[in-house]
Amino acid sequence: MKLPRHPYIMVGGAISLLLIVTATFAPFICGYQPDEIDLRARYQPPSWQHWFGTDEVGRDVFSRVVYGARISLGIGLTTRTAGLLIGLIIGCLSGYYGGKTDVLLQRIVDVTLAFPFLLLVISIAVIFTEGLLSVFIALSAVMWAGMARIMRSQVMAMKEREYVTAIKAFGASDWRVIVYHILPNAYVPALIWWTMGLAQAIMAEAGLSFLGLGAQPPTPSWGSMIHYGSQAIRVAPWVSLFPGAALAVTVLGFNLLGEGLRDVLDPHYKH
Amino acid sequence: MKKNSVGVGIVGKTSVSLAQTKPARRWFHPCLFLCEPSRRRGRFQTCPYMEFSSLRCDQPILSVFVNPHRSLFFVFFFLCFFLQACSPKGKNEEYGGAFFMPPADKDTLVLYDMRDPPTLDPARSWAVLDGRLIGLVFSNLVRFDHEAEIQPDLASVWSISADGKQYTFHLKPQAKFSNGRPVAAEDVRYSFERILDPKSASPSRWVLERIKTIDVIDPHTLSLTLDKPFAPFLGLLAMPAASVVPREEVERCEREDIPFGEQPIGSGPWLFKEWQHDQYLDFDRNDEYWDEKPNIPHLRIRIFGSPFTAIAEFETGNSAVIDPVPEAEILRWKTHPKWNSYTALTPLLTTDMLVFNCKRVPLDQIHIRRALCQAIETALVLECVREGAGIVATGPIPVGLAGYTPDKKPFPYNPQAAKNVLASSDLRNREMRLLLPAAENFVRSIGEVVQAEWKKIGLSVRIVQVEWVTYRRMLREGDFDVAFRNWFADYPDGDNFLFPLFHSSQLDAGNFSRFQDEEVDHFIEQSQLELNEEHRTELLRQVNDLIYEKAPALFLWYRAKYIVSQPWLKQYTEPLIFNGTRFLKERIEPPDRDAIQ
Amino acid sequence: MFTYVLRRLLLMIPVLWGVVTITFFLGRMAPGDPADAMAGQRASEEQRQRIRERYGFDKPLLVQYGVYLLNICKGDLGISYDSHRPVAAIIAERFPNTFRLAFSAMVVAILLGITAGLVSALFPNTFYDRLAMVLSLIGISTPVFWLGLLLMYFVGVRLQWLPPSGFGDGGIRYLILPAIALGTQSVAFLARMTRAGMLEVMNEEYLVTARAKGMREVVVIFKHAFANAVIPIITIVGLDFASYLSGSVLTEKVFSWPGLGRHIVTAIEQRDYPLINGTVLFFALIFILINLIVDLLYAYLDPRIRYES
Repeated sequence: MKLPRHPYIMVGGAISLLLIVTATFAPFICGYQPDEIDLRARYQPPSWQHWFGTDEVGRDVFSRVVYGARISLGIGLTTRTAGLLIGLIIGCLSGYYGGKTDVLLQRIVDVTLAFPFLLLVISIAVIFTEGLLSVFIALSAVMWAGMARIMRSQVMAMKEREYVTAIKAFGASDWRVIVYHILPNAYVPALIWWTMGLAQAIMAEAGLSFLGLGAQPPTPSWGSMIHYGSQAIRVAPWVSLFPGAALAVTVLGFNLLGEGLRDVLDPHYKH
Repeated sequence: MKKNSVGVGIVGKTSVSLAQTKPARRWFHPCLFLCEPSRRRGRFQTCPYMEFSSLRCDQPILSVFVNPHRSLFFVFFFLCFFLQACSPKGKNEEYGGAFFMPPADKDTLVLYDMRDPPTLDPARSWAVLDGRLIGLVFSNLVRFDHEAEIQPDLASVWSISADGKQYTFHLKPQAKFSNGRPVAAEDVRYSFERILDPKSASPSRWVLERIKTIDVIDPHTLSLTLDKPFAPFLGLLAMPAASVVPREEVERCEREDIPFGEQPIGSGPWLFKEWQHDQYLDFDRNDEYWDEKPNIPHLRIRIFGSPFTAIAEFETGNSAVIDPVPEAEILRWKTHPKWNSYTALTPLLTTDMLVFNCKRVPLDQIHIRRALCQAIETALVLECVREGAGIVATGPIPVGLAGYTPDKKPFPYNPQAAKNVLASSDLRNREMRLLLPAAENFVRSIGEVVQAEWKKIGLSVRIVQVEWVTYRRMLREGDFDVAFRNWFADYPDGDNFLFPLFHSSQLDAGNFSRFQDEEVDHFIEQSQLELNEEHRTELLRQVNDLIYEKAPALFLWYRAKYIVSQPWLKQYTEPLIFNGTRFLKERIEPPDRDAIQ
Repeated sequence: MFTYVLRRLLLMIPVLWGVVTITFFLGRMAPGDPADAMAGQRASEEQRQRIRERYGFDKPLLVQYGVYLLNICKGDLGISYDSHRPVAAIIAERFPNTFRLAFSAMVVAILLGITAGLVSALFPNTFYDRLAMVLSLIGISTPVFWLGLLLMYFVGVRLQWLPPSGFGDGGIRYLILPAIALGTQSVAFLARMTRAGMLEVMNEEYLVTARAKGMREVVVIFKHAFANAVIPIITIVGLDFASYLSGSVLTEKVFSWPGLGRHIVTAIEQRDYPLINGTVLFFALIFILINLIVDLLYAYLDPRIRYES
């Protein structure tokens, strides 16, 4: 099996694993509590005591980044996956069957896409009380639509290929055709879409915390650290730079993993 | 892999020579890259990390040069270097990362706001944002000066009857609207009635509600009768809602179906010229103005989307001030060797507080509320959260107004005592909800600090931060235990900080702490009726102290703000109250580099 | 084809109706009262009630809904609570600005994204491939306001090549920085889709045949290989363009750009229902039209895709 040998998979896998381990064992890694305020040590630059410096109320940025991984990774991964599943199903149905199904489903997609995120989220905040569940619902409810559009286009292009027509002529069921013959050839955009949107999902969580949804202060999350910290970007860049770097590393890791998997799983790919 | 081409190799060589002549450490590390040099030199001079990182960063650069394989990296870094190096030194002078730039246009005073004002119609305005601009275009009977003292505006003289109920104003005969028509007493009546008319549903009705009758005695004399005396009444008349509008223009707008707020015409020192929403509002000097005219011919209020934008535009000379300097940036400007003399701290008539929900058990008990106050070291929080921009509060009435007690000491910081008091209360058994609006960053910091401090005395606090309209509704409906609140003076009188916030008749309006106290009510009512200034100050002082002792809120501080103005902007001073300036004295003088250096 | 387009256009009506209905009720479900936004902190309950009466939201919800729907059918989107201006006029004033920004950002994204994708696909698993990938990933994981700030600071303040922010006289100088900041967000996705789509077919027989026939490599790449990647690219371009057209709040805030994004956020913050509803309706229209155009492009670019009427 040459799967693990692929450099992208090795690097990406290592990064992703490291992140998940970090998030899980946060209390063992940090020397400070993420909400430990020390007003006499504000905006300390990175040092041996505070690897990533301290923020505007003297909290250790390193601890906050590590603990923040829990919320940010959690929200990022779960909402992307939920969005992927919904989008995949709707996209496949829409692209494969075409006609009335397509028209109906695509109109739902249109409505979802046209809807301002902010309004949707504010309304969701009423139905579900504060907490991460509402963030999950709000983000998933928005994110699937793009996936559905992409998947649909892919399936539409695939189902007209000769081999699909041939399989259908042999009497294969629709389900079989989709799952065994179209999806394996159409999953690449889905994979890319999944890894690509992580950054947006993590940043969107920050926006939600202003609306009283999701992680309320002082709970650390990368998005809110970047957002609040950026006010001090010219005097204390470390406050927002390190969570930003964590976000970038996450995105890089999962994308490398995705790209590696793509290379390895792609039947056309040759080393 | 392709070998790198000749072209890239040449670029490589050039850069090596550049790198040898100039040390690369200034721009390589991202922290250093962003951090202002002044900051590096001053406060963090001895920071070991900086030395460490800059040393460490020199090495990979060299390896990039050595390894021709990495040519693309190299081009990228060259680009960074180029950006850093080719800053046009001739055009602007750099002093530790901040720039002195000449004005982009010396005939235009450019200021800014962070939001597009909703309207310029006095009848629809209630916020500071639009109130400030309404004062430029319109005149009132009286107005505030920089120190928030009452000055004549349309009215040259006025008299108040002995019972304090009747006010008679004599208008200046030379006062004219900008359409050329003289201002008459009838216009004042029309303007006031326009606001009082229930059909207009004006949000500022409360400003004029105390007026019982408006009598036009002759075209230049007007008398207002109140139902009962109200000492700070003249202050109300200087508010944006009491601006005088020309009837014919309002009616013309109605006919043409244009909101009057989009094309305001008044009798102020500035003429409204153009409003590009979310971009700018342009005003021209009213050359026909009947009083002191502004020095600068044009005024532009730009609408910036973020505080960074404001700073960037200031640094390029495109705007005249940074107002206010964001908390995180205060130190950078205040301690800057060149900019510190252009950075000013100005007090505001604003009180920041955390209101308690006095209807909720056990916050209905004074000793519990006082204990909560004692557990917070307000002075330290102020120093840290607002970089010291403010004065520790000892009651609702801020410094600068009659009623403020100068030598009063705040509650002593005593967490142990607080802990003892709270030990037996059932506050410890439940989670308190601390409501914050999604506003400036420091509001969130206050919440976090207070949460941490109260945790030390054994309380658990849950922060609920929501966007503005939801916050307002939750405040109104009492869906909180403690909530952040700030109060800007509408008019410069202590009463404005007492009656709307703590009088029991305001339970459905501004008294969000749901504070009901007969003694306080009685004193507030008395102070409104009292006409003798000395007695009144004494009354205000008494009630101010009383409220502080009864602690319906944790009074944090009276806010101040830092403002940086361009060296070429002369005579610019921030008024005490928001509509206290009409930008008459300001002058723009081309930069004098010798003076700067 | 014509009947297909016609049918799709007719189908817009129920979709728009759906959007209006959902927006209307979702908006009213949101917490907060527009009377709170319109009256000051000192307003009494009586005062707020007067405002509610004046703007008609004291009436039963269904009545308000009926009135609103009727007005829309008459082509009247209503008057903004906040500024008292007609909603249609506000949208008409903002949309050209938004369109300029969205279009330029898309041009930036396409230029950079497809170039990076082509480089990656032509030299797979080389240093250039990885560089293109890492750079485009840095692009997507850089928060847009950071990139905006950096551009504003270096190009606007330090070098003074371009104005730091604003719309100015509407000249292209004001457009460049926000377009780059915004467009960078789409680069990574486009680059990777291009790479994936092209790699899929780079070793296919038909390309080998094409090469064997003596076709020039450029023609092979663009006419045959690139064509395979074009469907997902078009999809993404369509999606991103549509979302840019509905305003991009952060970019607009950083660069003080007078677009639809800032304005819809203010409208939502103020619970300015007519403005929210009108704008969402307009967004829906844009999304539907762009999706239609994208669908037609599919059929045009890939003859295998057909739309039966």
